[in-house]
Amino acid sequence: MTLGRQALVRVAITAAVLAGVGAVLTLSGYPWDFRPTVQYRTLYVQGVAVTLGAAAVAFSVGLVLGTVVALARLSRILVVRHCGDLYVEVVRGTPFLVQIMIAYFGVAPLLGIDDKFWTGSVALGGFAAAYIGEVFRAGIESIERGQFEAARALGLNRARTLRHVVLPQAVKRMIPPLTGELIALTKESSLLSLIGTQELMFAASQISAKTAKSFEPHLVVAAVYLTITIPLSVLARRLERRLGRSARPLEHL
Amino acid sequence: MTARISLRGVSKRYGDVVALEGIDLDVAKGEVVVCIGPSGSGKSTLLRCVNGLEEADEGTVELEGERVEVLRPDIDRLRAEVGMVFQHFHLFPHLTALENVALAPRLVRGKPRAEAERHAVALLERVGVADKRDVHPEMLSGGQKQRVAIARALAMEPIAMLFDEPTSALDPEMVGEVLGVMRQLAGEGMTMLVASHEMGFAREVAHRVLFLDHGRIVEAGTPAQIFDSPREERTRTFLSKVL
Repeated sequence: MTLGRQALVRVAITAAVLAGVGAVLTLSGYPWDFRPTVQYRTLYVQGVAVTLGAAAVAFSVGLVLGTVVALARLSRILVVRHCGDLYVEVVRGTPFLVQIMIAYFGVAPLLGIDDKFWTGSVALGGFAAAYIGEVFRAGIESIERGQFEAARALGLNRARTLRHVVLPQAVKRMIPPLTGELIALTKESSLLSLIGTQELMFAASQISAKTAKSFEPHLVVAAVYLTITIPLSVLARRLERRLGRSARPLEHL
Repeated sequence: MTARISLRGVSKRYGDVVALEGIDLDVAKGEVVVCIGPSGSGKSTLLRCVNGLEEADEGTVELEGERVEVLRPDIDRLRAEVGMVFQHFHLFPHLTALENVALAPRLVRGKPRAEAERHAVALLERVGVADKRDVHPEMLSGGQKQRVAIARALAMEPIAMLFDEPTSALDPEMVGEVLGVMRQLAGEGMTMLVASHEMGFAREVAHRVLFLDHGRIVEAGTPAQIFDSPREERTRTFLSKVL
């Protein structure tokens, strides 16, 4: 089955379930009113753009910072290793909601940054980096010890061993969990609405506030999130199957 | 004359387990030394100390008079001087046979790709797997993998070769082709330190045989001495089990 068709089937099933729930609610007399949604549709359109933008920025920051975290945790230097461990512990041990408040009310003013989108996206990237760093570390550590030894025995230093022997093998094992992280941070970006970033969730909150109708706008937002995340998760599953089947490196796929 | 490989009082422990205890060994240029002994007797550890994959707790290891220490900044240069062949091959699965052989000369010696690959082809021919040059390791038999691994080690033009049970993971019918390559290498004057259970090979090719047990060299001598008239009881017991 093609990627598009598989995603489509999934979306169709989801839509059918939602329609079923809607039908039950309608029968029990819920007064549906989607007019505000239609009226404020531009808020959703802008919201999707900002959500996708924030996810892209956060993922990029997460990949770069995650590399640093992974290298720190794999370092031979004890202090560096501990710093990496600490970062992961702190970030994973506190809710992202708390982190974003600290970033917005504490870190950003200290640095003289007054931009909700960038503050939120970079904070989300820092959050994602702890998880992405773990994906990198686990990927590298999943490579058999003999590969390191064979490379070192040939005289390759640590950097070259990583670059030419370990990473080409590890990257394909990292791709499925990385797609998972991308999905997670796309959803997590909804918390950016709480500092006033005008993304998808913010649109729903605004419409709720303006119209005193809260159910419908959030239903619409849920549907929009799903149209972003379902194709990604189908892609992740496909990649997993495809990479699992082949021992070849990525460029041969 | 300095020995190619020289170990003095080398000891190594893993927790309470003694892997090596007071090993003294000199391997001269062109000499073939085969270590025999039961599993866990320290043969592998001994080899791994020679190229600094393991660090001895006590004692010194020297390559042509240079100390092998894991933490010395140019340990990679020293490692590049010694080829190592592993029991489980450890070929790089993402590279073809040719790329496996040409990688280290390119990266470590800075050889241009074309030159590294020309040399790699010659080496693959020498070990009899030139027709597999563009094949990934997963498509090779065990014997072919090990021969590619030998070519990969030879590509660095090492001053000595370490063989860590090179035939122990092979199907019996493939042992001969790998031993054949090793015999050929020995004949060409390669300095070799081999850990092996192949008594026939040891008898035929080794200049010297070491019998290791519990991390110590129990007995050393020519193949004839060790196999035909071992002095030590432990050596006799071991040989009676394997021969």
